[in-house]
Amino acid sequence: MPAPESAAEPSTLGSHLPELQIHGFASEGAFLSTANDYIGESSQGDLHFFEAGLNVSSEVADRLRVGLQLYGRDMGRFRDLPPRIDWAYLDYRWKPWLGLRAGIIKMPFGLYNEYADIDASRLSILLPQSVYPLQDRSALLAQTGFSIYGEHAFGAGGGLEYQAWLGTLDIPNNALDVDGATLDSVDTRYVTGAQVFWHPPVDGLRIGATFLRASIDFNLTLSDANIMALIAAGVVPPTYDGKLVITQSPTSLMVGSAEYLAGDWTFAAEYSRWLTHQSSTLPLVLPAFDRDNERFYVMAARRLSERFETGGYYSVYEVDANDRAGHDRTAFPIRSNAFQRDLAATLRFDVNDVWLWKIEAHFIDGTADLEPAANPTPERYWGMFLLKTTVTF
Amino acid sequence: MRGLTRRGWIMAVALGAAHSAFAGDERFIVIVHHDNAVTEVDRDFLRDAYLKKATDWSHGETIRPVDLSGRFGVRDVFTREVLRKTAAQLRSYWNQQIFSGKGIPPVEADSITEMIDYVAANPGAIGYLPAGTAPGRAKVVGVK
Repeated sequence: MPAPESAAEPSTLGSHLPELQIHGFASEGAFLSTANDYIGESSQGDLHFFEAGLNVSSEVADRLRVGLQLYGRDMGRFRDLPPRIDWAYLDYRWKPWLGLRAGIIKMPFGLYNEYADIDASRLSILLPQSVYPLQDRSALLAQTGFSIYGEHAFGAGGGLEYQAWLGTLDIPNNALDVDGATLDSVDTRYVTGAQVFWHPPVDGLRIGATFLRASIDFNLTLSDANIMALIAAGVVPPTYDGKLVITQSPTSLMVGSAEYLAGDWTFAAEYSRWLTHQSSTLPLVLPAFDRDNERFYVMAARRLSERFETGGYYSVYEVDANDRAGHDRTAFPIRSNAFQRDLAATLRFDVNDVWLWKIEAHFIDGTADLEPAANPTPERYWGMFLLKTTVTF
Repeated sequence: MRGLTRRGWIMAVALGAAHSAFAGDERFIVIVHHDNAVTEVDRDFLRDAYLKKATDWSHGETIRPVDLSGRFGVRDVFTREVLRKTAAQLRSYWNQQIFSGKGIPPVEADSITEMIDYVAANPGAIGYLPAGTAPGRAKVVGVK
């Protein structure tokens, strides 16, 4: 019940800004697939669907803000426990059209990459996995370096919102699964990019593009069995120590985005291409190649009432934009590994302003995003069901 | 209601519409520090100030928006009419800002007195009150 609007009560806010704001969230859930293991042991049903974050922020001076967030998760095969620093930076907003951030900074990519962990800010449990794959979360979420940002209004022409950044990626060694090898370290020489959004003079509409480019070395040690096999095949000398460097340079990611908020409706669509040139220190075993992923989705959501919201998306991931159906049997011995088409539907129930529940169903054609070692004989058509509850404060 | 004539119905509908428009424009007043030379603000400026997209007043002072807590009905009116968002969209916006580290929401006043005290004490402050509330030491500005 709203408070009496003329109520005069003792003042507790006083004349100063609070020095520190503390916020957090915690989620737990479950997931089950009709076939294939996705994220974790989904075909058996999996309760490892926990994540939590805690952040502190403070406006330490006019226009100067500092903050830090700890984030941990135990989400199927993805585990960040004990929690690690998710972002930590200082932010100096000199003018609306120019601000500077320095530190570990969340990296913009498309509409939602900066907000990928923030369950309360969206409808779906899983963001469209074509553009926001969970397995790349640790690699693509933040960069360590600098960014500049701002926005500028053009009157009747609307306004522009922009960011540009330069830094390195801090990719934990558990961020990638490598069959037959151990990932010793990941060295990012650089990551740079820019994002621009145009806000036309139509309430709720934004249209934009993001470009991101990185150069990354993956330092691996092959398993003893693989070392022996390579020595036996004569492709490495008998003294080979198993060290292998896989270089992805450049990796270029680009995405075009559009979002429209109209009353209780939200519409979004994104189209993305991920271009990678990969080479290795063992070209006879791992020859260089170029890969061109195509990724896109369309999404609609509607808030039905203060408590309920529903909607869905159709998301498509094609591993090779020049071979969408996987006709190349060398590249795709299992044809369905060339694509993944995901039709998803979600129902969200807000118990109150801080606590919510979601249920979600996915109907999937294709197996491109599955971990090969866990799915040696994947089934092309499969379904997945998720349940999640989140508390945010 | 049974005795309402056709003309009465038309009058009632017309009065209802007029009341809605009046309510839409006048259910809140905007207040600033008494030394602030501004006499009128437009809704786009208010929106940018409360979404923390605008940083400074034209005279250089840092803008310090202050919100009423959610238990005041006028906050919903302000959110809908000035910020042009539903309450759910505004929650989502601030969740995104908070948990990506990009910003924190305006401070919240838990009472009318607290709102007035804060605005009166901070030269860059801007707040709002239910229409008809005495602004105390704060200054009321027009909204265009």
